[in-house]
Amino acid sequence: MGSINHVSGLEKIVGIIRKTKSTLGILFQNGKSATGFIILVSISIFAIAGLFFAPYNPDAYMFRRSLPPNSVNILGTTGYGQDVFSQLFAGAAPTLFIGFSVGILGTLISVFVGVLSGFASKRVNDLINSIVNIFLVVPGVLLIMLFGTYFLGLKENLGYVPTILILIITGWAFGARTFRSVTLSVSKRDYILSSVLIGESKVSIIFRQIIKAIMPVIVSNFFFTAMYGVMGLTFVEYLGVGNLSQVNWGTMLYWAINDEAYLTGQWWWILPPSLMISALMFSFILLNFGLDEIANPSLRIYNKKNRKAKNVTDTQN
Amino acid sequence: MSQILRTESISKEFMVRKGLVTGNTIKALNDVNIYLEEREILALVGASGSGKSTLARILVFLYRPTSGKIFFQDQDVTKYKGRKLKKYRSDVQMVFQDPYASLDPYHTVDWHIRRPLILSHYKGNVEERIDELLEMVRLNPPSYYREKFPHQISGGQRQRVYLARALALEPKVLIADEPVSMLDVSLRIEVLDLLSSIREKLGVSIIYITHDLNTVSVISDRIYVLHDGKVVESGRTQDVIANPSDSYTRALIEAAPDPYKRL
Repeated sequence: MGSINHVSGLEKIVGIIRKTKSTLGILFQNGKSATGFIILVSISIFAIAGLFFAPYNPDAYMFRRSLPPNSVNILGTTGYGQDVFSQLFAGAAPTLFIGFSVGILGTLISVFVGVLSGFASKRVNDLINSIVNIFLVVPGVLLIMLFGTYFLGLKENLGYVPTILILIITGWAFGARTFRSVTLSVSKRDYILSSVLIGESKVSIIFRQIIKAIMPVIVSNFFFTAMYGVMGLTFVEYLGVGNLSQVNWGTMLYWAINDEAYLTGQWWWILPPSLMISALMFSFILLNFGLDEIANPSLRIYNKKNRKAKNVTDTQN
Repeated sequence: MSQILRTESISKEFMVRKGLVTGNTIKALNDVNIYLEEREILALVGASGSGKSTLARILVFLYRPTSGKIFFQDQDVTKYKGRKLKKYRSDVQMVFQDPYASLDPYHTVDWHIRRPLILSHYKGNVEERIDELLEMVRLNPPSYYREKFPHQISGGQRQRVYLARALALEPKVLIADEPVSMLDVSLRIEVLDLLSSIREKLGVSIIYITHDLNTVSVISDRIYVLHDGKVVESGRTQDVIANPSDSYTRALIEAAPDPYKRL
C-alpha cells in the first residue's frame, strides 16, 4: 500500500508492445474484422512490394497491343502496349496512399469541425452547421469538376496533392455532421457535466474525455472516408480532372474505359484493377463492421445468446 | 448559525418548441425562496416534475435562472462567469443521481479524484490526499480501488467515488440530487450515514434532494416540500412529518410505504 512504482524505460516499451498486441487481439476477436485486417495487410504488402519489384516499366509502351495473359505478361497488355501486371503492381501504392491520406486528413477535419460545433455556443454551432449543410447539399461531382479544373489550370507538377485535396473537400462534411451529433449527445452526459462542475476547461474535456468517448465513431468514419478516397480516385480520374499520366488503379480504369476494353473483350485490362479496388473496399467494410461489433457489445451478445439457444435445442434433440 | 446559501424568488422557464415559430414556456420553478444554514442537512422533497432537480442544477449554474437571485455567503453570485464561476463551483459541488452515468467509463477511479486536486492546485502530496479521500468515503484499502474502472465496482462504491471526487475540491456546500435512489436499498443507509458523517467531520452543508420521505427523516434537519415548482411547506423535519399542514405534503407522507402496513 502506498508504494510508488518506478517505471523504467524498458518497462514502458514492453507496455507499449503489450498494448499494441492487445489492440490487435481485439481485431482478431471478431471474424469480420480479422478477415478485413488480413486482406488490408496483404494489399498493403502487395503495394509496398510493387514500389520496388514491378517487372517492367508500367509507363513504357514496349509490348504488342492488347495481348491476352501469357507467360511474359502475366495479365496481358493494355490497348497501348503496356504491361497490365506492372501497372497493377506499381499502381497499388499510390491508390492506398490516396485512400489513407483522404481517410486520415478528412477524418481529422471532420473531428475538428464536428466536435467544435458540438461543444461551442449555439451561435457558432448554427454557423458551422449551415456551412456543413452547404457542403452536403452541393453535389460532389460539381465540386470535383470545379476544384479539379482549377487545379489542372495551375499547370504545376503537384503530384497527388490536387486529387487528395479535391477528395477531402468533397468528403469531410458527412463525417463532421456525424461528429457534431455524437458530441452533442456525449456532452450532455452526467460525467461531462461533472467535469464542468469540477472546473475542467473545454479543451481538456474535449481531449481527455470526448475524443475517447467517440473513438469508435472516429475509427468507423476513418474507414468510410478512406473508402470514399479510393472510390473517389476512380471517378476523379474518370472525369478527367486528375493527372492521367500517373499510374494508379483509377487511371488504369480510365484508360481501359477510354479504350473501350469492355466492348473489345479485353477483360484482363479492366478486371484486375476493378477486383483490387473491390477487395480494398471489402476489407474496409469488414473492418468497419467488425470494429462496430466489438465497440458495441449489444450487437455481440445477441449472437452469443443465439448460439447458446441453438446448443440447448441441439442437446434436447 | 449563519446562512451560507440563499435564493431570492428564483424562477425558471423552459421553452418548448411546437413549430418553427410558435412555442410554449413551461414554468419549472416559480418564485422559490430557500436558504441553507452552515453545517445543516436540508431536504428538498417533491414528486418527479416538481422542479427539485431543476433547482439543484440552477444552484450550480448548469442552468441559468430566468429571474431571481442567488446569494452565497451574502454575495450575489447570480451573474458570475468565468473565473468567479469556477471559484463558486469549487465551493458548491453537486452529486448526481445516477452513479452509473456520472463517472467517465474510460478513466480510472484514481483519475477521477486526481483531476480536481490538480485543477485546484492542491498544495500537499496528491498521492496521499487521494488515499485519504478514498478512506474518508470508506473505500478500503485505497490502493485496491485506485486502478479500478467504474464498470469494475458496484453502484454504491461508484457513488462513494463520486463523493470523494466532489470532496477533493473541499466544497462548503454539497448538493446531492437523489444520491441513493439508484442504489440497492441495503446500500442506501450506508451512503446516507456517510453524508451525515461528512457533515460532522468537514462541516459541509448538504442539500439532500429526494422523493423518498423515509430517508429524509433519517438525516435531514430541515425540509422544503416542492410541488409544481413552488415551495408549499417548510420547517423542521420532525414537525413537518408529524404535523403536515399542506394537503400535498399529507398525500406525500401517506404515499410513503410503511413496512408494517399491508395494502
